[in-house]
Amino acid sequence: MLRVTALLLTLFAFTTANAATVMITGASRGIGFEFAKRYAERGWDVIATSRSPADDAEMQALAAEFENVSLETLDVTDLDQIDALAEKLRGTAIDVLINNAGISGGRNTQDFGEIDYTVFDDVMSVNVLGPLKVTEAFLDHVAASDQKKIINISSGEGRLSNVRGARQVFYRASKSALNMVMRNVSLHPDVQAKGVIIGILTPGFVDTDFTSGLPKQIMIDVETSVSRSMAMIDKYDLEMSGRYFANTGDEMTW
Amino acid sequence: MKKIILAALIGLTSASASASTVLVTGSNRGIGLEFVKQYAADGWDVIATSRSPGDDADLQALAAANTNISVEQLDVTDLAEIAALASKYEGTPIDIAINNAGMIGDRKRQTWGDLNRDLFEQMMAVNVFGPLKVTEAFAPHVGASEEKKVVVISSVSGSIASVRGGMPGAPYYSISKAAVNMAMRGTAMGLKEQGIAVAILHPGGVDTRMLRQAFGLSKAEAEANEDFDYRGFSPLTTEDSVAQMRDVIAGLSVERSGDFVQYDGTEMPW
Repeated sequence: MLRVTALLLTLFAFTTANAATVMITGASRGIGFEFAKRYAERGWDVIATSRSPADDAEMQALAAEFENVSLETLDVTDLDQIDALAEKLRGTAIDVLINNAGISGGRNTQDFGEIDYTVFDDVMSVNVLGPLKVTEAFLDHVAASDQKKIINISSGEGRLSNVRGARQVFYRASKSALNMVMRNVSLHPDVQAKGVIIGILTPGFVDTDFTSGLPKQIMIDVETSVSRSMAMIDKYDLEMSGRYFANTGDEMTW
Repeated sequence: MKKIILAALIGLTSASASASTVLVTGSNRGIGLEFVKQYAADGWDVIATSRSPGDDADLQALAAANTNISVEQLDVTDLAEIAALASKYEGTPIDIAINNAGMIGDRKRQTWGDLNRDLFEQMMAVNVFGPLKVTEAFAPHVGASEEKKVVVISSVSGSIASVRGGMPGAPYYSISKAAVNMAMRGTAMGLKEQGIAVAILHPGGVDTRMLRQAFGLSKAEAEANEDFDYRGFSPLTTEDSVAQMRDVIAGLSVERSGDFVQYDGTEMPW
């Protein structure tokens, strides 16, 4: 009897230890939503954030289906809201924080001759300042976890060494800027002292709302992309921190 | 009679060909002012812009001594001012547009734990959107010129491959320079069709107010402290950096458009 109890206790402890937590920004659609769903299916505790989850039927359905999914309102351009959510979740260890929220700025608003400051400002706020601020605010939550991973969804479009055309200069500049700042963050003394891993990961060319109108034959579906990313996230270690990887595992030049 | 007209035409053409034109933003101090000085001394027509030229005694004195310098007001974050200046110079070919205006920002306001939106937006506007918008507005003038060159003064701080310490002095500055590198590299690909070449230049560590700010001085301290001791670092003089960058600009070709090079022509890693 004692042995059975001990076994049960061990199992219980094991299960509890395994209930890792992931937080995802921009979880209402596309890659972010798929991350939320797949980590929920894996049994993780999922903190799925978006600008307005209350109005989002798909997120509501996901949270209804999985009791391990909690929804939080987070606009990554609202620095006070980021601080408030970090405060609300103080004491919650977050194993994997995925800075996924991002915008493209549209395709016709950043062509030469049409470039518009409002679009520029939005793209830089969401894609660069947002992830930086979220990382700053949630560093302690991640540092308190077992896995200690902050994964930034970058893009091959941010790759300076591989520019062929003039398309989407704001979006591409924002991803170069994100790469720059996350490489900096990975080397920050606080981040290094806490052993937090900073991932800079490209999801591939994925068929989502984000890429609507572009040729589908050269895209991968969102399930494939997220499967690859999750496999990569499982593998991430400090050695890979601050480097630029495709989710297929290939390291890329800046 | 025909011969005389032809000769006159040739004379006119060669005269106008020799008087090239350069536009320099942020030309009231440091590297910008030195570009104005050197190009003017070489006989170029110089359009020297700054946010508030009325306050810029050095630039005004230079312009007073050189009739080939035109001083213009231009805040590179002010879209109406950019449009108005482009319109004022409509029909004037500009051989080289030098996007030099930039800011490093107060280091204390871009540190980990104290991130804020105001300075981020201001720096991205000045260092990234400004050069893009000025380039867009003046591309017709540059395209109509002989040399057809656009330059952006970037920095080694924008080189991701060169990052060593984490969040060093000024992360927003690094972010903005990586971003402007990509923005101008993309733009360079688009401008190739028009025969316009773009140079992304690292000027070196140049003895300017900005470098002293990078070493931790406030703007006011950096302004006052011209004999600052760079703790073992030997900065370039503005004269030397600008003279070398002018050689790089003179050698710029469409084939190498969008490359990132430092003042002496050495290619920089991204």
